[in-house]
Amino acid sequence: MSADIDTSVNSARGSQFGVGLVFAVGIVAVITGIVHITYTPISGVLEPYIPEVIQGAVGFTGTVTGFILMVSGYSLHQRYRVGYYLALVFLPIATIQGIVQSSITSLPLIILSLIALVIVHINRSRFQEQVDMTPAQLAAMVALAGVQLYGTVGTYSLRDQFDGVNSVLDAFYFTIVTASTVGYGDIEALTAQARLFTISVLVLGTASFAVALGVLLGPMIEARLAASLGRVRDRQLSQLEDHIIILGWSELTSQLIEELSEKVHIVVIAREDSGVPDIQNQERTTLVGDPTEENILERARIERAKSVIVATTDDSKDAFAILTAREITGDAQIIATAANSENVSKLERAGANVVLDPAHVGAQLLVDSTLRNNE
Amino acid sequence: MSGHLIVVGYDTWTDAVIELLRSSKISYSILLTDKEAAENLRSEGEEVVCVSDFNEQAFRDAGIDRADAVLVATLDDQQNILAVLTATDIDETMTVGTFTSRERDGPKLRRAGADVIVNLGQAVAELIAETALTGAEPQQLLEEILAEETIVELAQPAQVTGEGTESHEQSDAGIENDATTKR
Repeated sequence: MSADIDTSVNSARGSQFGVGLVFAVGIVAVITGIVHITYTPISGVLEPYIPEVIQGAVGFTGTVTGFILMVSGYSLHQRYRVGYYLALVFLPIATIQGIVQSSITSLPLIILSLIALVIVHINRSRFQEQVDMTPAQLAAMVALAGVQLYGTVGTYSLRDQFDGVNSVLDAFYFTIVTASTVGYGDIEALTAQARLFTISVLVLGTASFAVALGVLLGPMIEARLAASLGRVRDRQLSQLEDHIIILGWSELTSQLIEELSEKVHIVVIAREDSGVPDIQNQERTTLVGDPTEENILERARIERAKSVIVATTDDSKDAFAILTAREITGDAQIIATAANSENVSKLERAGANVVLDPAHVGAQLLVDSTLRNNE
Repeated sequence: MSGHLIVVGYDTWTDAVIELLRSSKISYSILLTDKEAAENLRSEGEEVVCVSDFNEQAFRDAGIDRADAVLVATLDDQQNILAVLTATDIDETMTVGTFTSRERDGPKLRRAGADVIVNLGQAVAELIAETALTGAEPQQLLEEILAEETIVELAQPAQVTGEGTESHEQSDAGIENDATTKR
């Protein structure tokens, strides 16, 4: 095994460890935050120096930081660059909040967040994925933000016609409560103008909320459904490089997976009726389909594969798969086995670089090892 | 190596074993249960002993008294174990090599007295995996394995990750071939 495989495996583990830590910091921050909302610290070291208001606010803002860090952990898990940026901003914030909370219960938060920051930073090269937003998603985000702005500015400028709006914060609060259809009713529109304005905020606000939820969450739900149905997104496949493709599902395939899965990413392409288990994970991707079909081989990025191993259940299927693979890729290494020794040369003719004859291997191992042992 | 070998069983992989023995000019007899296959082999001039069961008498008929080693080559591990047991029962010091089709039967075969255990499926997978990763020729890898001084056993999964060949000698668990652990 070459060294570069080793290091990539190690750093993959390191980055996964970092992701786990960010999650952990998020959870700890939420818990510590809640504890500080409920109980005022008894024995804070810095307590005398920090105003009470800030100490109170630090509780719920700490919880919010925790939730943001969980989002960051999730994005890091998906290898998004934005997850790294979030971690870079919010891990130090969590540390500071821990210090400001200044009690013994926030000690784990301080230590964990610092460790997580270092590890995530070391592994930053793993998080390269760009968030690719569709124009519809961007438009929805802009609309959502625009309506909030419209509502806030409008309410504030009409504040004389509202009962209970005195500041920009009040105006923003009223807009959110209205646009999200929560409508507590604590702030009232007193004039016809204010009421018409409120109607416009309500209609635009709910519409933009609904659209935003649809376009932002829709693709996520779709992707989740697709993943659970075993369909792999092309985005995942597009990252494949130096992987090993195994064509067909047979006893050999499962043995190969055992041998290879810790060293390299494997893509298995096999027909549904071959009984291939549909597994997608860090080490392995399964594409269910006909391994003799060109476009599924192209989806598996065969041109960037390290090797292609043909392991269907019989030699004629092997030959067909080899021919197809060879047609698409000029120089990939194709390895096959011949169930019947006679077929070795035929599979080579079909385009396999290496054809292993198990009978020959077995005979050599059995006879030579036994005789040597006898000497 | 001048003596005589007994090949037990006649299955998918046996032809290749016989072929190798023939080309190496090693004397052998074939012990098998399939009457039809026995007839065919006999007509090709092979020394064949057809029996209903791999018992002691069968091994004596096949010439175990003058044999140096027994090669057990059926696909059925139960039959393999029985044949290994019978052969070592007749002669404690007999060298016995056997195929196995299941990883978990390896220790049983070893306890039964087999000196060499070849798990063909695993061996092939290991060779292919190594070839796929490094681009090495499987035949060359195979020769490297065979050239090892110590006994190479292919019955066990690749658990050992360190280098060195010392561990191949005695212990009967955790031994595997070198193709995957070297380099």
